[in-house]
Amino acid sequence: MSVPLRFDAVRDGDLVVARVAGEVDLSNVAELGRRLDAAIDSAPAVVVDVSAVEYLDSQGIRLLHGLAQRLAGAGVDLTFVAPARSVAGRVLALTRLQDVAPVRESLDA
Amino acid sequence: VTGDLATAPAQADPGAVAGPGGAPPIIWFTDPDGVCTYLSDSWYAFTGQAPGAGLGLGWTEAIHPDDRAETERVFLAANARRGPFRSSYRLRRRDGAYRQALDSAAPRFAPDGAFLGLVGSVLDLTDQLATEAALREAEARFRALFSSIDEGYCLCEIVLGADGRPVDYRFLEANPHFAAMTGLADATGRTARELVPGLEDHWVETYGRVALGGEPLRFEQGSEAMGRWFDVFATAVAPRGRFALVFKDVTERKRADGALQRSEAAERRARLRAELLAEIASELEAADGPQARVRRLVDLLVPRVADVAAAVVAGADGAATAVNPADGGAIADALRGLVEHDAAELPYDDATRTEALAAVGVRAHLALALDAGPDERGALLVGLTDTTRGTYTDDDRAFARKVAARLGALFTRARQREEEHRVALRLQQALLPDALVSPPGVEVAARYEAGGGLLDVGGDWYDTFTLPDGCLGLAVGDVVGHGLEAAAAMGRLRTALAALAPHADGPGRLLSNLDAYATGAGAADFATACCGLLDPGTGVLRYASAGHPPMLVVAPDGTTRWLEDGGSTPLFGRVDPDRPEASVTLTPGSLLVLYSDGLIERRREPLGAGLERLERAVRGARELPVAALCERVLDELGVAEGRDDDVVLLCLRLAGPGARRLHTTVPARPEELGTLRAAVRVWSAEHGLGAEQASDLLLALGEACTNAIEHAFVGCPPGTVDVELTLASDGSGDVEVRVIDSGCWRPEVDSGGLRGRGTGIMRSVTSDFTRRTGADGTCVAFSVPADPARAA
Repeated sequence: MSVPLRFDAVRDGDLVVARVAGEVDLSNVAELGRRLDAAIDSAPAVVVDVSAVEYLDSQGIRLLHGLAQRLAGAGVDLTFVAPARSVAGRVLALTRLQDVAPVRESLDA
Repeated sequence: VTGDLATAPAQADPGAVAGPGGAPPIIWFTDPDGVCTYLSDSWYAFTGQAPGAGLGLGWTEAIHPDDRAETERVFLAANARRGPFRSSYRLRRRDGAYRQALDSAAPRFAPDGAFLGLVGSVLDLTDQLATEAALREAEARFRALFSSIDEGYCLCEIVLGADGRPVDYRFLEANPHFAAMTGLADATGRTARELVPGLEDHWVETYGRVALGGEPLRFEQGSEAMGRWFDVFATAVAPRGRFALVFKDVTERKRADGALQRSEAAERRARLRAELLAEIASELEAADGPQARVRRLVDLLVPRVADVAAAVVAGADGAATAVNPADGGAIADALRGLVEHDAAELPYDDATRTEALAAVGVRAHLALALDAGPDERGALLVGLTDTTRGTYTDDDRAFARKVAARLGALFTRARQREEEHRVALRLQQALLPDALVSPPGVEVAARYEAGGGLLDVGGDWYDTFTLPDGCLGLAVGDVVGHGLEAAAAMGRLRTALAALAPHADGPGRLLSNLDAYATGAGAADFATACCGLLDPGTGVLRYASAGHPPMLVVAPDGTTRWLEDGGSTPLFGRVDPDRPEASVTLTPGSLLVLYSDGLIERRREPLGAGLERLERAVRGARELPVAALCERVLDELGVAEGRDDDVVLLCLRLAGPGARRLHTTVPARPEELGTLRAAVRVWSAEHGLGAEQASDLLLALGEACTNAIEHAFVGCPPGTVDVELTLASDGSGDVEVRVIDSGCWRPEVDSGGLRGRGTGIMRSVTSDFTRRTGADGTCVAFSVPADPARAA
């Protein structure tokens, strides 16, 4: 029925790349937060790729905004990957996440 | 001689002239010397003497030798003194037998006074005398009988006055019982007036009428002096002027009769009162509430035991008073005042009450306290105004006390029953689901109707629940019994079914698991249930029934099907681990109807008739939205009318493809959000929504639902969220959205910061955004515009 949340994270030296896919809503946002925290651990550089997120509501946005503010305060280099035409990209643009952390079109860019 | 003949018989006793044995009379003549000069032929025919042989003194030859001398002597003497002759002798008949004959004669005289001789006649009296002898004997026996029997007997003779009218009567004979019964000793020979100086004239008149040829009389007569009652039979007896009285003492019978009549009257009164008491009991049982009860009470007491009545029952929730007559006149006011005072405070003393009632024309009254239980006081006042009704007796007082005592118990029981009913109804309502859930693409409505009577809170239930795989669970059940226990058992079963559902593989297994639960402590003794698991995406319904009437499926074209497979025994405390299930695929737009037997059962009607009626009603109403359909079906099946059983009806419609409207009710839980989105995606695709519009719709709808889930049920039990999407009717392609929750919102949270972001998102992707919070929840409405490309 609902598209389940998928999450994976890869650590390459100082860089942690976390990928979120599926749907993020009230039902799984807390779980997503715990996974992100665990994956980031104390890495100095983090990329959160939400390109494959098919649904992201204000709960998820709140999580991402909170993450960005916290990591910025900790001096962690955080980048989001969310194409402007993607579901997450539109929502993040609406909520001006780019004002807090850079949002890139792709992981390669 | 011939000339004398004409007068001779007339001078003889004509009444005595009757020939022996009906034969012609025997006539004879003698001359002045006593010589017989004529004997009629009948003499010769009787005696057989040769003709002429009887003349002279020849007739004496036929007389018995022993009687002959005496007869001759009397005959000669009569001739000598020229007087009448009478002799009885034995006369030899021609067959040699002697017959008792009576010979009598009268003298004949010439006009100048000269003695001419005698003219006589002879009668055969043998038979007559025999009869008289028999009569005398019979009479003797009769008298002997009378003197020995229990009846008094007397023979009387009317005494006539100078004017020939009866003035008295004389006792000629009386038997000992007569004396004993009447107290008239030695009555024989004395008259009634001598014996009873104050005798009323009517006795003489009455007996005079009887004695002088009137009809016999029979009457009952009481004797005050003796304190006894007599049955009197009066009849004329010969000769004229005499009458006989037969007295029978009926005092004991009379007393027994009186006692019987009195006891019959008492019994009738007792029966009427028992009926009244029973009527009061049943009417008051049926009356709803204290006011209705006191009203019924006074209306039942008037007029049967009172002309006016008032009753009051005062409890914690106030007092209920009723007065009959209820017209508010002086009597009603007085009664109301008295009875309310009596119920509220120390009762008035009797004198005060009597005075107050007398002032308004109440002649007699009874005032009683109603012992209506520890927390209630009551008073009852009944009175009589009608002067023809006598007054209250000790008997009435006892009855009134009985009524009052019974009423106390009745009121107490009625109040307890009403309280129990209220509690059971509350419990029932509390135990039924607050709201139904319906996944997207499924429209669900249900109705529960309590039975008509006070005790008819039943054990019927329904439920809907969603399962992790997105299926919709449906259940309807019926716990046997009424009242609190049934309602409580219903609640436990309903909860258990929903709780067990996610862990059971299919509805048959679910019912088996429910079995295991139902055998535990506190479970229902006997219940039926049916449940189904519907995949809204495919329309596949898996279902099972534990002794419950079959579900009904009605396709959009009106074809119907009863789901009669997947059946097993009711739940009654025996675990059946292999309850079967069946499945059916509902075509889009189909209706599924679940119900309890209260909907289809009617007294004196086979079950099939109820099923047919249900089928007809659902088929006829199949175009209606499901809530209206439930209403219509309940109406058509007469559920509003008096009914013993409670009724549950659950209707579900699987949305057809391309329905302009999507209506769904989801539990206010985060886990439901994904299911909702899936349905909205399908619906969006069906209606060709553009990618952006579809995405915005998902986003805005998700925010609205999340808000409701997060904020609407803080401090109140979690409820449901109702979602409605409608493709705008103006062809613009816009989607109108309404999200309604039944919760209790905290104050507006859109005060900036992260929490308010959801509303901001909604506002930014929608138009016509409104939010209205009322007493029953909050409604958020907005429109999601079509993509510009599509609109153009």
